[in-house]
Parts: sequence; structure tokens; C-alpha cells
Amino acid sequence: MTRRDTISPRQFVACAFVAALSLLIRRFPRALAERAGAAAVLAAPLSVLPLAVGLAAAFALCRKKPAGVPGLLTDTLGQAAGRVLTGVYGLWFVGYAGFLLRSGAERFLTTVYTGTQPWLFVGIMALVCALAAAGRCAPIARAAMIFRRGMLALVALVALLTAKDLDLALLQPLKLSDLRAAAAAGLEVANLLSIGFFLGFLGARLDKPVRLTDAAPWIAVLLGIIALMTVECLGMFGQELTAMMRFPYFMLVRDLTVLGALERLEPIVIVLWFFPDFILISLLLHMAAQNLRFALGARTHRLLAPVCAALAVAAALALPGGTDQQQTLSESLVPLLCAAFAFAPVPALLLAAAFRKKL
Amino acid sequence: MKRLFFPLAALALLTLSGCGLSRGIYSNYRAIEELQLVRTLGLDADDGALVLSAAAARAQDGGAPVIARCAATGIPQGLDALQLRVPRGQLHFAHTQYIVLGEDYAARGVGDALDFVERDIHTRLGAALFVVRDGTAEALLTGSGEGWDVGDVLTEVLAETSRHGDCCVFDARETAVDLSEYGTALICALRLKDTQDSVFGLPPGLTAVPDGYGILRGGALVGWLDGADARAASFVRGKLGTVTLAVPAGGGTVTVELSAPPPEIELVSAEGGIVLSLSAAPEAVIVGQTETKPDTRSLAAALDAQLREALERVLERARAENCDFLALTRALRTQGVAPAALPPDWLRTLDARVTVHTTVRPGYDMDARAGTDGGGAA
Repeated sequence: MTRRDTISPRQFVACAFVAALSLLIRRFPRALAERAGAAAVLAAPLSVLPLAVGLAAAFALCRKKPAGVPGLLTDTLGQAAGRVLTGVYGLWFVGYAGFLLRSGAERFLTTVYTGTQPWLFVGIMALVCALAAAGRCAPIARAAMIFRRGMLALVALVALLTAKDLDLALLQPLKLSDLRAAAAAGLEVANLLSIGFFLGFLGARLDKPVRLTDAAPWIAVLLGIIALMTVECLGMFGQELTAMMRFPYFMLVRDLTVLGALERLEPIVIVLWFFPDFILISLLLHMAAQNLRFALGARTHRLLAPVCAALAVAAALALPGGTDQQQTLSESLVPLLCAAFAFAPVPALLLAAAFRKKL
Repeated sequence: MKRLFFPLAALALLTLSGCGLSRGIYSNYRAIEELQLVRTLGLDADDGALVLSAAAARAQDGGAPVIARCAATGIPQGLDALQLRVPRGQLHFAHTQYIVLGEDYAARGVGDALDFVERDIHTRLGAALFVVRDGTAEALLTGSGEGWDVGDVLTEVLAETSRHGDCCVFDARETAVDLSEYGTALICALRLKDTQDSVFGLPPGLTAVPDGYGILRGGALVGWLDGADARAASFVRGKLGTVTLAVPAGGGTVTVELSAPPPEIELVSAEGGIVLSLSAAPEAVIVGQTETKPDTRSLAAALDAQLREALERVLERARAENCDFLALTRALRTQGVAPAALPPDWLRTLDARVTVHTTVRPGYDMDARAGTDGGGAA
């Protein structure tokens, strides 16, 4: 007898929240400081507007098609085109997982384990994630619920320990003229919503539709975390240094001392960021396997998950590994692809659905 | 799949343990008993070449700390080369507390050192930064030879300057931030001194004493701030501890302990240049015996004049060198003026108005307690 693989809206939101933490540490607050300078602190609050538009569209689609993105694709585009597009998304998830594996490995290499080879981290992470992806998604969602608490505690502890050293003058002055740059940076923050769209492929597993009241508080917490990290890094390093550093948040942790006795906490903090990576990559591999199963008409995703993981490892090792190349990928190409895969289909689908009178 | 999970997970953990005949695949593994924890790192320039020196913490058995020196083409290469120069164990830089720069090195520019500290995974931006006046970092690290522990000396300097010094110690992060945000920074200067008396509770003999600030502009050492000027700079930056001053007043000399909150720096007007109003309200406590006791009003006036003169002199120095080592830009920022909005020569044309109003209080004095519950005769 097979157990039902369902997740609750709370678990879905926890997955999206923890997965977004994995994405934000790769780019923020460095990218925000680079784009908006001292006004970077306004980026998270200003992202509310584009987020609200995106959320309104997403929840409108959810209400109409609670079966998730695959159902939406087949219903609006037809069975054949729907299957092909679902397969394309499956391949994108494999490639994205490959990038995340490599990027996570590079993070370890540049912050703690210099002189080591990336394949070690890529391989172990892929192995762990493949095992999770080959199973049901409910255990991953339950793990996300646990990791969310841990990550919140970690972020709060770092904020507490950093507070006394912040120089708030470095966050000033904030002027109306900076709002434009801050709004552009806010779009980058809003791009995190792409993860919500990707997780929409799990829509059929939801035991009931996700409501805005389930998601809104955690989106607010996520924006709060981004704003907090930005304040911490700008208040500690100033905008220029923050924009120059690869991982300013980890640099900040490197100098933390607890009661003058405990120092060098950064390996613990960096390693704890493994959990968001695990959730995101496992879900991507799981969804990739499910999508390809649907596209290929296979009976189960269990064998496809290790294949997807192997392909992701191959993609990870094929990617350029230098710090600069990795930075270019995570700063420009990958966010663009994320935005393209997440946001471009929504208006197209709505148009197609209107044309076919499916919604 | 479940049957495979636990053996695979156990195998994965084994590879990470660092146990085994070799180091394993965990490249950062170090046997703790072999570590020589570096407390002080020295950087010098010798005829254009980089010279690194490192002093480890004193051994647990009280043995002399390990000191190593090497010449190198760059800091990372130098740190590797230093490993070959230690007689025992392995140098470990993760707990480096102090970075000492020779005067020649600082004059060439500290950008490389700060870049390295930012990027290297071992060294920290929290390390305190010093520059040796008229000397080299290597001379400070090797000191008087046998029994010399530069780490102990610098710990005493750090503690003393934070309480009573004219100057204070900035760490690498503060220096890097000042350089990136304001283009200039101050760095605590040290001078090697052979003393007959105990300094900072350290035994007589060779020691290092704080000697004002080095001024960094564009990352390179461009000058020094001495004595009263260094004190005034600390004061403007809100870093002054409690300092002891001898003030000529009322026909004698009064010794006071001066402490002050950071001065209020205000942008008064922006028409035809920037006009800064700097208001200081220090507090002086009389601690020294005086031959002729001056009234507090004349003492306050004398202190006001002395402090105002020092503040105006240091402001004039900043203006003359067009170098914002007083971090006035920081004060302007808090009032909504973006550094980028300032004209390039705003400091040269700065009109600064200094106001000092010292409050003088009598110090601990048995006479003053007469007739109180102190038990003295009424």
C-alpha cells in the first residue's frame, strides 16, 4: 500500500521560506548594497509592491486551478504542449539544482574549506538530496518546518550579537532620490518569489489550497530578515565594503564574539546554511523527477530522482568554478533565468487560458 | 532505498572525520597539540620586498613564544613560507589579535593587508591594527629577545589606551570602513622605548608605548598626529577615554582627569561653503595637589582655551591636508548630507567654529570630606 504524499499549506509555506533563505544568502545583501548603496535597507520594504502584484496573480491562479502548475499547463495549453512544457521545467530544475550544488560548494570553499575540491561538497550534497528527492515530498516539508525554527533562531542570535557594533551613521543619509535605486533593488528581492512559482509544481500535493493569510506573515518575516541582514552588513562594513565582499553576512559572523570567550563561530553558521540548501535542492530534484515522469509517462519518479541528481552533479561540475565566474552566474544569469521561468509564463498562461476559455 | 541510506550516510560521515592514517579528505584538519596560535602578525617593507613576521602565544609551560620571519612576494605566500621557519608545530592564524605594520610598509599602502584580511579565511577584521613609528614591525615582534612576548605588551597597550590614552586603537574593520567611506583613517602608532620604570604594569626594559596616530590617506601613511593633536582627534571621533592633564591655572599647575562625551557636530549653514559648529562639553576632575588653589572658574577657562586650541589645530591640520581623518563626513551623514554630494575640496573651505565648555569638579579630597560621615574634624 502506498502512503499518500500530501503536504499542508503551512508546510508548503515553510518549504518556500527555507528555500528562499538559500537563495538570499547567495546574493544579499551584497547585490542590494551594490545597486542601491545606503538605500539598500529600503529594498526589502519597497519590494512589497511587486510582491503584492505577483502574489495576487499567483493566488488568482491557485484559486482557479488548485491542482498546481502541471494541471494549469495541461489545462491551458493542451495535453501535449503541457507535457512538453512540464518536461522543460523538469530540465530547468535539474540545471538549477546543478547551479545550486556548485554555488553551495563554492561557498564552503571560499569561506571555510579553502584548498579543497568542489566535487566533494557537490557529491555529498547531491547524494543526500537524491535520497530525499527519491522519496515523498512530505518528509522534506516536515524537515522544512523544523529547519525554519532553527534558521530563525540563528538569524536572531547573530542580530543580537552584532547590534552593539553597528554604526548607524553608515546607513545614512536616506534620501527620496535614492528611492529609484532602492526600488530596482526591491525587484531583485521580489525575484525571490520565483521559488513560490517553482514550488507550485507541488500544488497537486496540497491537502488544501494555500491562502494569502498562510503566506503573508512569512513573506513579511523573510523581508524582515533581508532588511535586518542589510542593516547589519551596512552598519558594520558600510556600503562600499559590503558591495565588495562575496558573502558579507558571513564576514560579519567571522568577527562575532560571545561574551568575550567564544569566537570563530562562522563555520557553524555557514554549515547551518546547509539546511536551506538541502530543502531547496531536494525539492528541485523531486519536482524535476516528477515533471520528467509526467512528461515521459513513466510509472514512478523514484528511479528518475537519482538520474536527475547525477545530471545535476554533471551540470555542477561543468560550471565554471572561479569566484568571479560564480559571482557572474549568481548575480546576473541565474536570477534572470529564474525570473524568466517563474514570471514570464504567468501572463502567457493567463492569455492562453483566456483564449481557450479555460479559466 | 532505505536499506542503502544508512550505510551510505555512515560512509559519507567517515570521509569527513579526518581520522585515519593520513589527513583524510578534510583538508582543514590540524592536530591541536601541534598548533602555534599566532597572536601578532607583523608586516614590513624592506627595499620594496615584503617581510612578514609572526609571534605565537606563549607556550603553556611558560616557554618563550615562537617568532618566525620571512621575506615573500605577497602575504599569502609569506604565510606559507612562515610555516617552514618555525622550529616546532604549525602556525595557526585564526586567532590573530594584532596586526603590526612597519612605518615603511604603511607608507607604501595598507590596501594589500586589508584586502588580505578580508579575503583570507583565517585572519579576522577584528584584529587591532598598529603602526610602528621610526621602526619596523619585526623589531617590535622580536623585542628584547628572550622572554619578550609582544602579545602581552599589545594587550596592555590596548587596555591602557581604551581607559586613559590620548589615542585609541582601531581594528582592521574600522580602518577598512574609514578608508572606503571617507578615504582616510587613523591608525594607532607605537614607539619602541627602553624604560627604567615599569610601564603599564610591565617590567622595566624595552616596551612599546602608544605615540599618537598615523594618518592614512588613500590607504598610505601620510603623516602623524602627536600628543595634544592625537588627543583632540580622539575627542572629535568620540573615542577619548579618561586622560590626565596638567593645566597651568591660578599661578600654579593643576592636574585634572578629563573625560568627555563625543562633541556635538552640527552643520550650521551650507551657504558659500560648509560651516561646522563643534561643541564640546568635557568634564574635568581635579586630582593633583596644587600649591595655590585656583578657583574652578579660572581653571575651567584655562581648560577651555587649551582644548579649543588643540581642536582648532587639529581641524586646521585636516583642512590643510584636505584629509578627513576626524570623520567629519560621518557627522554630516547623520544630518542628511551624503558624502558624494560634498564638493571635492569641501574640507579645505570648511569654516569650523569650536565651542568648549568645561565643567570642573573637585576631586577626592579629605578636606572636602571634613565634617561629614568620613569622620574628619569639623
